[in-house]
Order: sequence, then C-alpha cells, then structure tokens
Amino acid sequence: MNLLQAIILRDLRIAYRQGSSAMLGVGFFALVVTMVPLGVGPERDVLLRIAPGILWIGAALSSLISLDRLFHADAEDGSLDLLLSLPLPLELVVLAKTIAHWISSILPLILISPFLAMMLGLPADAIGGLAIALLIGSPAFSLLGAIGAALTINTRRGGLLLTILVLPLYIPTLIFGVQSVGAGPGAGTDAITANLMLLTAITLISAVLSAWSAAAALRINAN
Amino acid sequence: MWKYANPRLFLDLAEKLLPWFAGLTVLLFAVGLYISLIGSPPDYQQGDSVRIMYVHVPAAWMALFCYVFMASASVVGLVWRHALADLAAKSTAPIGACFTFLALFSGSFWGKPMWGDWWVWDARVTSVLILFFLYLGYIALWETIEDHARAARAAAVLAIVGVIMVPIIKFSVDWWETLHQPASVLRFDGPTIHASLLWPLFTMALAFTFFFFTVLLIRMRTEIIQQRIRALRLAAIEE
Amino acid sequence: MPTHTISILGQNISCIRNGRRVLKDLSFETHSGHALLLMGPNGSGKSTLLRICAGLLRPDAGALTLNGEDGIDNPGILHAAHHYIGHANGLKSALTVVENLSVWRSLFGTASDAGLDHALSTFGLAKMAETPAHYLSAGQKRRVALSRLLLEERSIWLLDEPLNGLDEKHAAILIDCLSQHTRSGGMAIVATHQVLDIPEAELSILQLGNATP
Repeated sequence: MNLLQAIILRDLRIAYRQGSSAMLGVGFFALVVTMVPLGVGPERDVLLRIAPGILWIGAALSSLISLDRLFHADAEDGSLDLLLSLPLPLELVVLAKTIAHWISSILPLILISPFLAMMLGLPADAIGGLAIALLIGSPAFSLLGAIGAALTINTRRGGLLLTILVLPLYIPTLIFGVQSVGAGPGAGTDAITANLMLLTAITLISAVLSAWSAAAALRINAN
Repeated sequence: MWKYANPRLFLDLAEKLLPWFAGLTVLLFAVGLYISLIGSPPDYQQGDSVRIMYVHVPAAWMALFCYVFMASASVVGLVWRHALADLAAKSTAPIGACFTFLALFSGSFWGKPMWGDWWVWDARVTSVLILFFLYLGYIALWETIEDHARAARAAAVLAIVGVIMVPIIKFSVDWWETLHQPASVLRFDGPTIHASLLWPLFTMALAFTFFFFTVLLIRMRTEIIQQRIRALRLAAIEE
Repeated sequence: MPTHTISILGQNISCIRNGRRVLKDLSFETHSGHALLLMGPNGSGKSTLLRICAGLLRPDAGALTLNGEDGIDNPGILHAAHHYIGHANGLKSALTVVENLSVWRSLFGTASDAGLDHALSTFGLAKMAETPAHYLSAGQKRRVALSRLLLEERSIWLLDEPLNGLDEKHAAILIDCLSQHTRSGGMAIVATHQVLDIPEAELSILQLGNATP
C-alpha cells in the first residue's frame, strides 16, 4: 500500500511540476467544445441535443493527449527499470500510475465540464448528471488508455498509434456515458440509473483488463 | 527607450514609477467604482444590471489592448532583440488573459438577466472566447520551451500570427453569426449612450489601464529578479 | 551490511535481440567481495547481460541463479537484491535533485534521512540539492543517478558504463564506493570499456566478443 501511494505521489508531483500538461488537456477540451457550435451553428435546440455527446467525445479526446507520456516518459529516462524492479506486482504499478493520470489529467476536465455544459445550454440537472457520469465513467479512459500506452511504448510516433488503438475501446463508455446524462429522448430516472450502473461495470472491467494487459505489454516491451 | 533595455536602469525606473501608478490606480478605482455603482442612475431599460457594463466593457477593451500591446512588444523583441520587450510581452499575457476572462465572466452575469442565459453563442462573445484561448496558448508556449531566448522568439512569432489572425477570426465569426441568426439575441447597441453612463465608463477604463501598467511593472520586475535568481543558482552549481 | 555471502551463477546464457545473437552460451560466476568487469566492443552484449542479471530481460536460453535459486522465472529475488543503474539515469528533469532522491527512497521503502544525506554528500551534490535536474550537466546527472547506490544497502550493484560523463575526481569517488561495497561483502557487475582498478576487491574480467558466428 505504501509503495502504491509512493508511485501515485511521485507521478502527481511530476505532473504538478510540469503544470502545463494538465492545462493543455483542459485547453484542448474547451477548444473542442467551442469548435462544435462554430461548426454546427448556435441554435439552442441543436446544441442541447448534441451537448452530452460533444462533452463526452471532448473528454475522451483530451484524455488521450497526456496518455502517450504515461509510460513513455519513464521508459525514456530509465526510471521504468526502477518501476519494473519494485517488490510489487506490475499490475499494481500500472494501476497506481493510472490513478495518478486520472487525478492529474482527467479530474481537471471534469471540473471544468459544468461550465462547458452550461455554455452548450444544458439545464442544471443534466449538468449534475453529466458530472456524475464523467466521474464514474472517465476512469475507464485512463485505464484503457494505459493499455495503449504500454503497447506503444517503444514505437516511434506512438502517440498517433495509441489514439487508433484506444479510441475503439472507449466506445462503450461513450455510449453509456452519453445515455446517462439524461438528455436522451424519453430518458427517465430508471434509465439513467441503469446506464450509470453499466458505466460503473465498464470502468471496473477496464480496471481488471488494463492492469493485466498493460503489465503484460510492459513486460514484453521492456528490453 | 533603448537605454532601458538595461535591466538595472529599468528596475530603477520601475521603482520610481510604481508608487505613482499604483496610487493613480487606487484613486481612479475609488472614483470610478463610486460613480458607476452609486453616483450614476440605473438604465431605463436594463435597470441596475447596466452597472455590470462598467466592469465588462473596460475589461473587454483591455483584453484587446493587452493583446495589441503584447504583439507590439513581440515585434520589438523579435526584430530588435530587445530583451525587455520580450519580458513585457511575457508579462502582459497573463494580465490580458485575466481581463479576457473577466470580460467573459461579467458578460455572462449580464447575459443571465438580459438574455436569459449564462452563455450565448453570439459572434462577439465567441470571438472574445477565442481570444482567451489565444492567450492561453501563448502562455503555454512560454511554459513548454525551457530555453528563455528560444521561448521568447517562438512566443513572439505566435503573438504576431495571432494579431494577423484575430481580425480574420473576428470577421469569420461575424459572418457565421449572420448565417445562423439565433432568435433570442438582444443586441446591446441601443441608440446613443447617455452621458451619465459615459463618465463612469471612461473613469473605469482609465482605472483599468493604470491597473494594467502597475501590474505589468510588478510582473516585469519579478521576471528580472527571477532570472537573476536562476542565474545565481546555476552559477552556484558550476564547479 | 550484507552479512551472508551471495553468489550469482550464469550458465550457457544465450540472448537474441532484434534478430541478432548478442550472447551465446555464456557462463560466469560472481560472489561476495567480487567485482566482475564486463568488457568488449560496442554491441558485444554488455548491457544485455546486465539487464539479464537485473531480471529486466529474459534470456532465450540458459540459467541464472542467485544463491542457487532460479532468477529467470522468479526475477523478484533479483529485483530485491540489486541496484541497477543503466545508461539512462532515471532522473525526472522537472524535480530537484533532492526530490529525485526522495522519490527513489520512497520506492525503496527506506525512510532514513541519514542515507539521503550520505548519498548527497558522497557525490558532492549538496550544493545542487535544490536545483531541478533539468539544469544539471551530463556528469552531474550521472552523479545523482549513482548516489542511488548509497540510498539503500543492497548487495548487488549492476552498473552500465558508470564512468560516463564523470570527471576524474568523481570517478575516483565511485571507485572508492565500489571498493567499500565489495569489502563489506557486496558484489558488483560493471559494464565498462576501461579496466577499473578497485582496491581490495577480487577483480575479474569477462571479455565479451562478437557472438555472431
């Protein structure tokens, strides 16, 4: 447990020192969301209908920005060797790094999402629903992204490849995430709850899948 | 002006100017806030909401002014390698971003009672939002490039590109707005502004301007001192 | 101080990397008080062998044991016993020297401030303790990486070209550390292109040639 905490604190401290990386994600998120009304026009009912989708897609894309550095930075400077030699299953190392990624890169996105949702004209209760859905669903972005990051750790232009590998894995989260915001046609409370539970299940499955497969990928790629 | 490229002389000058600027800022704010919040009548149409304008409009002016100032300083820094101009540009960006944010924020407070919504995708609002992003990008570029001289030149290029692009962005957004004319937008260009509204507006604008220069001097001074600290640190680990 | 004696035994180790046979049927033995120098031209497999000993790379054939226990299927026993310093320093450039050391310390699970101070002072890092690693020169970064050896007592040191970038003064300090380490029962495997004269250590050289037939 102490070691897990040490890894999380280490990554958070580095992220804090570099500062701009989390802010870049937030900036990207805000820009993507701003571009959409410019593209489709400012009509309120159109925006209202597509707002949950825009916000979820925006969050998914923004989470990708920092993912390619998740293991790559450690591999580059040699500290990955140190992480591989810890008296801790590699699966847990992966989880710890993923948790740190979520806190440093995705949590800021969730924090500004209410403002962006407001700009798109979402009503207050839908904004609350969106924040809850993001809190529950977005850890899957970090987790599934970690698989891609571990797989592409030695590849040149890994960032682009990562995007292609990981985005398809985001689809279930995206679908249930958007559904659970509650702006969908005829969505009642029961439907929202059901979607939130599905979202939880996907995040949990991602955690298991990610820990196992990202660790395997790291072992294969460490040479 | 070239004389003050020397940081030493600049620090001396800043030392002399700062109290005056700061004093003027406080005085202007005191007068400006008094006449805009208490000493002026409410608008016959907007009621007391009009008072938000006394913050909003100067903030929006300053947002643009800061950008132009930043870009001009960038040109000087890029063309004549004037180190202080680089610093001025760097120091302006966060202040400009704050003014832009204030303009957006106060605008949304004004928009709620006036337009019935916190945010409206109006052409002008949207272009100010994009200006905000340009500021953030400029600041981020400074942050990302470690080498000071290289960061200064790269950021200068970005600021200049921004100046050229801003009118185009503004123009295209205006055009976009006429393509999709939303139903609910009320315009704030009523007939003519009454003089009783004009006075507080100008006083506040002046206060904002002096506030900007005060903060700019402080920020530049801080930058110079920080650079010195860094140089001392580096010298200390030389062996 | 490691009290019990330890030994590493490698038998018929072969390793293929990128389709090239880097190590072929290599056998070696090393134990407490011993410093094994891996020498040979570029690409002769020095780093590869070090990584195999570190439990970071699996050989394609052969056996590696630590005190008679298999270290290939169970690299955890290797991980716990060694300090491995590869050619990358493992420094985070955004963190200061002392923060880098604290991070390592927390990963090693040791809490003593004495170890940290000892590490800093031995490699002459006290002056730059609060400087972000980004500002350090190559040699200074190398010294920070090497100071990791002193953060926690571990019996096996695996060093990949440790002298790279070091000036004479600090090379001598490293040799001194190696000497103390072997004297107190530790062992070291060092990939190097120059013979290190480590006082009071049992020294042997493993010459790695080009394994390609």
